Amino acid sequence: MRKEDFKPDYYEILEVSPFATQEEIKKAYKRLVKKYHPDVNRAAGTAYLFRRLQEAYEVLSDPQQRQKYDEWLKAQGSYPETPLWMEVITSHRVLPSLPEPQAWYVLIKLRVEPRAIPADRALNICLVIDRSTSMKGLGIEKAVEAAEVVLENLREGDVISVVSFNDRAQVMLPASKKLNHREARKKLRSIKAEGGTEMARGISAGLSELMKAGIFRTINHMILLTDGNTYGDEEECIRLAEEAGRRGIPITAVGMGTAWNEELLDAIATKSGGVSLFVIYPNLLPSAFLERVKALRSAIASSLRGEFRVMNGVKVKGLFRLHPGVERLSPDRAPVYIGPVRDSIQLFMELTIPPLPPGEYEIASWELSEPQGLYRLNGRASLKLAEGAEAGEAPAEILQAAEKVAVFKLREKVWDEMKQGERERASHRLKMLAARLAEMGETELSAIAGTEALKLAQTGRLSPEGQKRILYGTRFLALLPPEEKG
Amino acid sequence: MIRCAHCGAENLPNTLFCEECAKPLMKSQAIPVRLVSVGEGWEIKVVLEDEIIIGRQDPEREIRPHVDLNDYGGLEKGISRRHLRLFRKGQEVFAEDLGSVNGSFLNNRRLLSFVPEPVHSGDELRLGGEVLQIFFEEG
Repeated sequence: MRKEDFKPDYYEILEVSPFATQEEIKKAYKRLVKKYHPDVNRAAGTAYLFRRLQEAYEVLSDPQQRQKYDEWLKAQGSYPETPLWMEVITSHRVLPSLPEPQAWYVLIKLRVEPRAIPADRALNICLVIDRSTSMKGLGIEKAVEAAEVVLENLREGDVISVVSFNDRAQVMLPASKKLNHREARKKLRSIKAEGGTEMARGISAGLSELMKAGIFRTINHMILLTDGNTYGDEEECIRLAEEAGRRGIPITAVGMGTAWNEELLDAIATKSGGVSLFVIYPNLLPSAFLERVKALRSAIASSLRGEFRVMNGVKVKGLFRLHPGVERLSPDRAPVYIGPVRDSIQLFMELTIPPLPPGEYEIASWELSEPQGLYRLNGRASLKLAEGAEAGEAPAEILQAAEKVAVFKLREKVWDEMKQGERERASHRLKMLAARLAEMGETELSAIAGTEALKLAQTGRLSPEGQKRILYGTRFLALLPPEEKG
Repeated sequence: MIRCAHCGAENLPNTLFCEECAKPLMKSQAIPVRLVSVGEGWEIKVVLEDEIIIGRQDPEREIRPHVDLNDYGGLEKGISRRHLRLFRKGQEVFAEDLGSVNGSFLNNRRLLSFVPEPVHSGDELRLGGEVLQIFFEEG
């Protein structure tokens, strides 16, 4: 970006939404001016922030100047055309200019104005259900019940389809708006569990049902349920998940029991912009399915794609999506798929800033877009480096996000060390994880991690249940993220 | 680099949680505080983690300040039960008068009640009739 094009984000500086009223802007200014007044806050760099605050208030408090500024933002693509906007919080606005690399963090929060949820957003959902032999009994029974619960919660205009698979895929309910519930139920109850597991066939049939219904302006989503390993078609599954991602169809991959391939379900979720969920007992399936559907109801679009760029020399240590569970998005492979466009989307970036002379830098920028072109948002995060500046405390929201991500990464390291056969190190690290979880008040999970650390030291592996509980427990810390409340 | 106090791992400056053990790094180290009576020469050493209240103990009213000046003639010197609070923001220390009867002075300037001001090592604090010099280091 050329220098003369650069204007700071006044809304960000005042910590308000672009839809804020004049009253809200005034309030925010009053609050911040106290915080940054040079008489109160003598930390280095504060004077600069104070000036910025004055500048922002001068522009935004004057309706004419604000309108001009909004137009400039619109030209930059940074002004939300729809009431979908972004809040960007950084760990520090000012850092000292150091002769060595240092850490910096960015939290991107997506906001959807509730009044903006378009009434015409119908759901287009496909349920893809494993009916291999291992599902026999309660498994298939509860899977069918879960499908029925979804059916019961449809609204007019919604499209549903159901596919079952073993080593073949069968379309149980073709994509349809008008559903004869009695017929549908009969069809679902006729599903018999038998045969092997070839998941790619199920995903493929599911995608074509979703496409058949037409995916424009609907909230498209696949819920995939499996309880075991798929045989030999893992790569095909991932390729299909990538295709689903490109088309704006996220996949919620639900693993039931403890015998399924967590890496595969994670890959399917991440590549498609979906989420992977762990449901230990079949009884919990209906509520898990229902929660997913409810979450989709508050989406204004199927999917969001993100493309991230950083300044030369800056390293992205990690890019994470925080809701519904912590998930690592691989930033080196642009674009990333983030999932249904909803209020609770939060992205967290960990960056390494190289040694740089004092100055203001645009460290990272990104574009978030909906694959069908319904929405597009541009954002950036800048940092000022000043001689002798002191890094103050990071905002609470950054600390909370960083804490969750730190736990996620610690767990990742345990898994890596386990895979490399470093039993001692993995076990030691799992103990550290247990200690950390205890400090955070996650006593149950901490106890599981402690027990499993001993098991790991003795046998070199974890119990299947313990492994899944730790993997998913550490992702869904402080369970019931905002979306699941409603 | 900054070293994790818990596991000893080296982390980049301004890292929030240790890359090795996930413990918080930015919770700055506790600050050793030394209060020296200018008139009488005695000194009190405390560690400032989050905050320190200076005053006079009153068990009946369940007032137990971290620094109790009863034994140093606090009552005669007009020190309130809850007189002054020292607290920390990062590595910076602030002093706040807690609405004491006889007031608190920082370098001979009266502190407004409940308005914190930054304090530096070597500053003089007067609580009622007691003058203390404050140092942020082990003595």
